[in-house]
Amino acid sequence: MTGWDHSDGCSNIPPADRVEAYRRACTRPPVGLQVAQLSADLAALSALTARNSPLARGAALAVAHGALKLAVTPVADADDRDRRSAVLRESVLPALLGVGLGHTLGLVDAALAHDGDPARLGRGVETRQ
Amino acid sequence: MTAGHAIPEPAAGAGGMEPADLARYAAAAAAATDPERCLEPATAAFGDMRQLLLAGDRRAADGANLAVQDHCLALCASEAASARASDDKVRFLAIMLGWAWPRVPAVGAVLEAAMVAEVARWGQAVEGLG
Repeated sequence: MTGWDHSDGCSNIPPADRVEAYRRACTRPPVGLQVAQLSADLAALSALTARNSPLARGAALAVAHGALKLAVTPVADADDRDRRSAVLRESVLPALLGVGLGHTLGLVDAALAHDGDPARLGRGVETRQ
Repeated sequence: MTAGHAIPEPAAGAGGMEPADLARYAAAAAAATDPERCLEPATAAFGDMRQLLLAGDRRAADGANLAVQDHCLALCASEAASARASDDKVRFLAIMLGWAWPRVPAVGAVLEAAMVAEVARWGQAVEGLG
């Protein structure tokens, strides 16, 4: 196992540019933006596969990663929830099955099983009890 | 289920990829063969999150927390290519599961499902986690 730093001091505050990047990206992008990114990655996967490019595997993994991020993103309303489910089940998961990443199906299902859990909406970092 | 929201099938030969996209795909492919590429940035972001919490910068800590989650999800997206890599992956996910659950149940569920899948795939429980 790599790199665990168990020190409790405050002397390792990240560089200012990294802190600023964290502040800018402190919430997940909305479902609509994530769906657009997934669509672009799916198109790239199709194009790279057609070219027999070695990057096709990376594009497939990017799609799988995007699908997981979308699956764990809190939805704002029922329409967002339907949109998310439709995209994942009708477009993304069939594509992943086709490139040998079917195991992602179970992971997405595990995330979506928490749909409707109000406790996770709007939650961020909490201090340990 | 609303079929109208489904992503249209991409046209044959569709491209339009930016260099940043190609770099992202190359990084994802490399990470799939070497889990350290996911573990190291994840542990770095986790350390950042702890420091930012201690410093009281809640907004930045939320961003670091999201970065930790995303590195973990990237790790879950790929299947380990060897028993050793699988062991490293499961041990790491077990540690992160302690943090993610119950704060973000959906992420915790993904991590747990990925651990179970890895153990099933390689046919052996990881010592100390049984």
